[in-house]
Amino acid sequence: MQKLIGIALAVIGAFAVSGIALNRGEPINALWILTAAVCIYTIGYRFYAAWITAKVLATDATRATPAERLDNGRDFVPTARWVVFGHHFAAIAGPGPLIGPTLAAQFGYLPGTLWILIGSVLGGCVQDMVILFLSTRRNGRSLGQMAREELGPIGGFAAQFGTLAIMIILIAVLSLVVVNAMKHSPWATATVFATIPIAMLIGFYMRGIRPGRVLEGSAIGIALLLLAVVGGGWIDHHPVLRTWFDHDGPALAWFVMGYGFIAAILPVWMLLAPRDYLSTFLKLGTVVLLAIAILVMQPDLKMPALTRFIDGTGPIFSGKLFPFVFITIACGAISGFHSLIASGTTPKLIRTEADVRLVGYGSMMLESFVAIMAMIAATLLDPGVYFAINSSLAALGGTPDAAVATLTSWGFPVTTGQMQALANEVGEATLFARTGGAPSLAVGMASIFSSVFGAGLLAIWYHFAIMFEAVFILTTLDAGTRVGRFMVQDALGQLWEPLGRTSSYPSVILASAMVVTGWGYFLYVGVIDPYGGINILWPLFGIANQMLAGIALAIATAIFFKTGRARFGWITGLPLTWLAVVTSTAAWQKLFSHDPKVGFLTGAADLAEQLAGGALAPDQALVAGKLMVNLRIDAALTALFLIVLWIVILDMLRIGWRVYRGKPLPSAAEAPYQRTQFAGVANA
Amino acid sequence: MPERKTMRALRLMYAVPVACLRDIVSGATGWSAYEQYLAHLGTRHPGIAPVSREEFFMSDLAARWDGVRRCC
Repeated sequence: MQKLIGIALAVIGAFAVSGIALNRGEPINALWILTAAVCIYTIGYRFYAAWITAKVLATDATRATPAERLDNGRDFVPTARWVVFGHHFAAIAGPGPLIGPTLAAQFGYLPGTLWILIGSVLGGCVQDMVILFLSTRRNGRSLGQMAREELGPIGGFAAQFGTLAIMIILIAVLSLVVVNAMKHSPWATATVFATIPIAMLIGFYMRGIRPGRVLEGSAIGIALLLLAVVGGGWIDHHPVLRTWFDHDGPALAWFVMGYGFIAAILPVWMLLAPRDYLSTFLKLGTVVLLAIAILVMQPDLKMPALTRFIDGTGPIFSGKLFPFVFITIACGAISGFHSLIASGTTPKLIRTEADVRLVGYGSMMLESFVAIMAMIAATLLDPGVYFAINSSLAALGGTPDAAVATLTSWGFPVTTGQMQALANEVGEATLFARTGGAPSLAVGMASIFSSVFGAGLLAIWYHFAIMFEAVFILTTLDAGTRVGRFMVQDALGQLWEPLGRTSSYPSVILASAMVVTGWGYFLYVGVIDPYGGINILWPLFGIANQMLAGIALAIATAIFFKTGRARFGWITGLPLTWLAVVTSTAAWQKLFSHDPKVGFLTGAADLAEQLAGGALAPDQALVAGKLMVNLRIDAALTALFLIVLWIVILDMLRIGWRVYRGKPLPSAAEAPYQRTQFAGVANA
Repeated sequence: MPERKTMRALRLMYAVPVACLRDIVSGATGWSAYEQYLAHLGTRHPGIAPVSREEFFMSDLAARWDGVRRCC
């Protein structure tokens, strides 16, 4: 019976995938993509993941997990499987899978969709599950600890460095997305600003008025957030009030930096925790709503399967299909960041090793599904509209009129009248050059929602989507700055002990300021960049994230070598090889490409030449110096990421070679077997 | 009699997904963390007196946010 279901799924899945792949010329329905996705996930989960857990990891339901053995009722707590699933999914799912596919849609819907599906089933889900399992076997060790114990001090340092670097770049790029969505949009700005006092109010409610009543507080908070969306519209129509919230990019960037600094030093109950409750409820609600709406609406995808921009001349970001689609979509296919979560709190909650597949592999499948929905939301827009929203004006000729002429000549017809009508409908002054992915995703989501849940509410849905993305992103920004602060304090404490005290105010302020300066710098340069900044920062983030995934997969492969499972090394070795190829190619091109739009160094040299030759407009000449410095810093970072990745890979290969030569190394610290006391679990 | 059987089957059909969903939401948001803590102490550590809801809430928050808890 099981086999029959499997065969049926395989047939349907193959049918749907070939339908997607072979369909040319006429628009394809989103249901094809959903069907293919569900089939591929199910096959991956039922067969590949089941085989890995049974044969490679050899999960043992009779073995007591750390949650059981070290149960202290606080951080180690054996927890029901779906509760752990929810906990893990909420932790791994952030704004990344929404933004990456939106940007990657410039290549057409096909490459991104295939990479999301194949990359997750063979790469991302496997990484998350294997790291979760290895950490569970090692009493919930963190990725950094495992790197130190299994690879050595160099690997440990690389993992530490990778984590901090990716955090800085991630926060910079995400805050740039929010700033771009708020730029000269009083409605969006007022709504996003309102989320801050609302979160604080809920914080006080949960602490002072009704302590610990999370559900009540969250319900009130969500109601207030929805009110803020509507209220933002009212402010937008008010002649005086709207000017208070009408700001340019740099002003908003300074505001976000100030906000991030304050949020990192405030106690968690005041701002971070309550907003996280709100953002998690919003996240779950919106994902479910979006899935239902796509099923009901059954939209046709208007984007072609492949666009001409696979040759590297795309207006949203430059670079060829290979390797840049695999860099642009990290979260949703494979995301190194997840390995930090899978070796964080989750392994301390796993009740039995039998749950590892559901929690590790299953959660990532759901995240990948979110990425698929983002891809659908981006590609159901008219391609002309999609490119007009997501490309900077500088990339399309400088003015809206030039932009529509350029796009039309490329075969993506659009008019300024059409863009203005759409902008009016969603309640924005303009939709040209709203780079970063958030506005275009919001237009896509709004058109899905309003076609199912009430037409004519396009403006409300659009700003709901912007608010949803902003709440999400600001939570990551707060949490990331805070974690970065802990890491910096830890490092400073090794230099001078008092600087490492997490409760000492001077140390807290110093470390927070350092972290905010780190991401604030990239944010600021991104804001003043006439090409929008995303075109530079997002690939850098992708490279950093894939580097971390490479580190995690190398640790796992090294452990397979050490524990006599070398013949199964390919299950992590294969995705690692692919990531090494992709990341190295992308990093190499970013460093040394002769195309000034791709190569950081050529870009800087090109800018210097234009500046010297007087070819730049006065406003561009003013920022050119800063952009040149930034391009060189980006180049240095890229080189560093590349070196760190290869150091770790070589370290892993060294271990593999030793094992092959018959000089095995013991794998550190797998906790000894102890039989579970849970009735029913061992027999399950 | 068959009716009662059908009803029970129906209830089971709904009960399982609903319980799953409730678990997922509570795991994702942590809204019933205190109830879970009480239940956990009751079954696993019957000797230990539970802390109050306020106390639990504050210490739970502190523990929740001391490392990487949210991702990209």
